Amino acid sequence: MEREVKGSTKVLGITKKKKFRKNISKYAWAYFMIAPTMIGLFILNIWPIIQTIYLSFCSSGDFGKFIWTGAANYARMAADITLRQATINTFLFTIFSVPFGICLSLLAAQLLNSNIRGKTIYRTIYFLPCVSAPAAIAMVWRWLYNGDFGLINHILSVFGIDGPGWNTDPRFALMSIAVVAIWSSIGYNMIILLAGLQTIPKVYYDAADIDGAGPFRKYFSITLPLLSPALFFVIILSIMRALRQFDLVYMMTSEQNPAIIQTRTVVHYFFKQAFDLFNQAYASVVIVFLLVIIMIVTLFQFMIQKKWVHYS
Amino acid sequence: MKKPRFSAYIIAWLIGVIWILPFMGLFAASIRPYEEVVYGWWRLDKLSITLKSYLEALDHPTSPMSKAVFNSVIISIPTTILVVTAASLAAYALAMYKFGFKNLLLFVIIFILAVPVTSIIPPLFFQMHRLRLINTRAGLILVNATWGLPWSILFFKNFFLSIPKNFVESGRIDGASDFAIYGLIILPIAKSALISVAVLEFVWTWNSFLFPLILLHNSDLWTVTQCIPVIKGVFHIDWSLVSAAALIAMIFPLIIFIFLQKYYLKGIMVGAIKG
Repeated sequence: MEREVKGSTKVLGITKKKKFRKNISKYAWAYFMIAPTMIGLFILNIWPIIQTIYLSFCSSGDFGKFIWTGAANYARMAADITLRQATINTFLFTIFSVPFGICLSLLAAQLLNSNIRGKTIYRTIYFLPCVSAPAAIAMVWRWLYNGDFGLINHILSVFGIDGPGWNTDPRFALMSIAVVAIWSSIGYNMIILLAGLQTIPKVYYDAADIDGAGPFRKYFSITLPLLSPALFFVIILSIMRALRQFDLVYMMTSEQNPAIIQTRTVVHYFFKQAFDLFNQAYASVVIVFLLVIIMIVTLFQFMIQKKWVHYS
Repeated sequence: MKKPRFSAYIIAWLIGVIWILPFMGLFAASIRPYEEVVYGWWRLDKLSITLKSYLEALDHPTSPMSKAVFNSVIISIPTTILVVTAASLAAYALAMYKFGFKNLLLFVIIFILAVPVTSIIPPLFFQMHRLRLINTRAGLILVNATWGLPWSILFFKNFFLSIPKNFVESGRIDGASDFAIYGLIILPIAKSALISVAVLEFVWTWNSFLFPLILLHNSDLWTVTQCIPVIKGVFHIDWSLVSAAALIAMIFPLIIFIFLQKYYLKGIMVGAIKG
């Protein structure tokens, strides 16, 4: 009896050791494979992010030195009216651009999922803005929006309407930029949603036909629930992108633009603080503030996703 | 399948027209002399077609597009190769193994995705300065690549998870090493995902504006996105010239998208949806 027990523990010991060694070699492979990524991410992404957070607790001193001042920047931020306006602008921009953008992407995806003729051509055209440089996009649209010789006002004048300068009039500037944002983001969203639509099995629709369901019923009971994972993915990314909007605002409204107060987003304000006013410490607070907002919004979406996203 | 309704065509056309109109404007302006387009490219009272603007843009005195296109190619291709290689390796490890810090790494990757690139520009600049990588192509390639890694890793991870486990198991039974399984079994299956990431990464690197702006000050190294604002100038804007420059800047990404879109779409379908 005793011998047997002894024998079995010995065997167990060996297998354990072997398993351990096998695991070590397995881990070694895994670490070897992620090592280049980890090094790169640490040096060029994580370290600058940590420094930004550190800077938010400092004030800029002479000769590019930074002095620890604790929460002073945060106190200043709470009383900053320009930042408050920029935050409102950012949210307005998001509320305007995301729902419209997603509805249009969904419409485009639906069109390309039907057996319409010339799909490749439509797909390429809708995707065109995604392959063009933001600098070129901003330029083209400024040209279209121009109050005096832009195409939009030219068309409106045919109907006897005297249009404003779309990107210089404070009433319309932010919406005009949101339109450009929608226009340039449809391509990606559409393709992801199209991919989602194509994974829905045809059988469901056949079954619904037998049950006599109408097109609306089919859409809301089959298409939308089964598309929800793709839709969730697109919504998360679109909201993130809208909250950190910078490029288009920067390139379409200059500091001399009369509408700049109504179009300045949080990241744009950060940019102004950091590079025009050379106030990097305060600029860091602005960015930390935005990061917290993005985190909260994203977390909130993950919390409510259980209510409407159906994973098969 | 049902025949599409007439209204579907009208909607598809309407969106198509709005989507292509700005590009029509660019094209129309680029092939006509400046005097004709200054009050609007749609005016057709005088029409003469010339390639003068293209030649001028390619040979611009301060920022020639010919050189800029070369610079962009020489930066975008290594960036793309670097991202596809590093991200697919890391994603393979994340998808196939359990190891320490795995969840931490995933959290870090998602966190980086939420950070606006603009926000880390000042510390990044100092970091690059310390590494003596300002004004070098290698520096821009590394920065572009590391900022392209997070989403590509998540994308590849989703794709790899959709590959049936028995492919890997059969390789292991045949005595293949982990590296061989990755190279000989996984990568060939993941061809469409590799192409998807490569296309997106190439286009994004090509169009990235902020990184070249802060890292490359030597005008010999300027990329296409840096040259367009210079060609546009500040006070007097030669619309024909800028339009030609903008179109030249679009050619490479467009060709890549059109020729690879079949694979690219297939890859997106698995990479972005599952998981």
